[in-house]
Amino acid sequence: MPSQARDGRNTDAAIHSTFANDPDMRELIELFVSELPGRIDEVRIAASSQDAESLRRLMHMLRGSCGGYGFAELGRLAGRIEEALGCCAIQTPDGEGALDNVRAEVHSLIALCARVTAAAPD
Amino acid sequence: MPNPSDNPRVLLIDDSIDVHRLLKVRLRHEQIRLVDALNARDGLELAKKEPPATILLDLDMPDTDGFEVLRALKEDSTTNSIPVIVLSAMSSSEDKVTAFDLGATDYVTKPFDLAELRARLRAALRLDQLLHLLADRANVDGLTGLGNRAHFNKRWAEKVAECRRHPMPLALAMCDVDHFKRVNDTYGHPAGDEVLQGVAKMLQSECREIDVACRYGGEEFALIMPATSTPDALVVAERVREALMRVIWPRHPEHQITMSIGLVGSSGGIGEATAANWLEQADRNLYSAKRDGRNRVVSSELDSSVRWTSRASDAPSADSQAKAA
Repeated sequence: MPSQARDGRNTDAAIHSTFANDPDMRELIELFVSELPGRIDEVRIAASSQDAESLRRLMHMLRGSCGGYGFAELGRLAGRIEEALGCCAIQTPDGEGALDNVRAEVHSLIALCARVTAAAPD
Repeated sequence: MPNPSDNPRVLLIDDSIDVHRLLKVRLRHEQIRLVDALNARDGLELAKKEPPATILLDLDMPDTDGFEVLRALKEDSTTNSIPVIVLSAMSSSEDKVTAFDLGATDYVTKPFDLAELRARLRAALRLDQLLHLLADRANVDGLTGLGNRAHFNKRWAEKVAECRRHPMPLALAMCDVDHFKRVNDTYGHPAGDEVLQGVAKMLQSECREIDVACRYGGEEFALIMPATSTPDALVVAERVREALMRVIWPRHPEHQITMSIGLVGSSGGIGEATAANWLEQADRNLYSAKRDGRNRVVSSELDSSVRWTSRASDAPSADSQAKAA
């Protein structure tokens, strides 16, 4: 049975690219989605090793590219994490405090990425 | 059919492979050739090596600050006129103002709307085309289509500097139409203009591809002959002089036009000579050619007082022609 968020959204539902039906983009989206688990591993490693700068760079890359591949929501979330890491890193050079502030959003991002699919919606 | 290799080059400098892949697909129907660099260093190197028509520049790259790349592009004379569209996920007014103040042509925030990016890219390419047109116009003489004096000054200074760095033969011929004022006074200014245009056309057809022919001013023309020794330059100058004598002028077929030429060449080491004093020596030889009866070439080696006068023995002088007219 699919899980439900408090606002009623289906949190297990696949996330499709808004360009999934664009023949020009099909191959690119497949490549992007196939490389996503590797990037999420890097996100996990950066988060668990308290490496705020690597995490910020990974978020920056996702922020810049997700929208172009039709995953705007992911891009926006990565952008919020990047910004939070950017401004907090100034206050705490070790980045530890910054990571605490974004931990929940990083988990949401990882969960969202797990639902991404290259397939077109039915 | 248009050749795709003639399409303008657009250089993308961005550290994200995703953005490279995306733009390669999304811009493939544009009439461009997309060249890419994944870091600032490679991007700057490519831009200098073969300046593209437009640069798409990411601001936030791990190896350097994009503003620094923009500054470097704008400070280098080979790249400073290339339109740069900044691509950035940073959308603060402060970043935009900094980018424009540093010389960016446009600023597009990521994730970009592709229709908008395409339109902005086309606008930047049009700007590049106009800038080139303007630069060409600023260097071209409107009447003859040859390079103008500004163009000559630039090219001549470049050639002399090259010759100083890597000694090689180089020659300069200053050519002046004989009794040009009489053409204007006798046949009117349109006839005079026609003579100047005819001389320009003849210079272009008689000189070689490596030579640079310019209108120096009035009825005076300059011919730069790179990698050419004085004796070889003399052959070219004589060919030019003789070719002009053979031209039949539609407005005054009975009137032959001739020119006097002052030539100075060097076979290699140019010592302390400068572009300006080389030109002065060629002018002095031109003056000698005029004083000695016109329609001749007076030549010498750079910084030498020994001059040769060359003139076909059967060539009727401009003076005798003018008198006959």
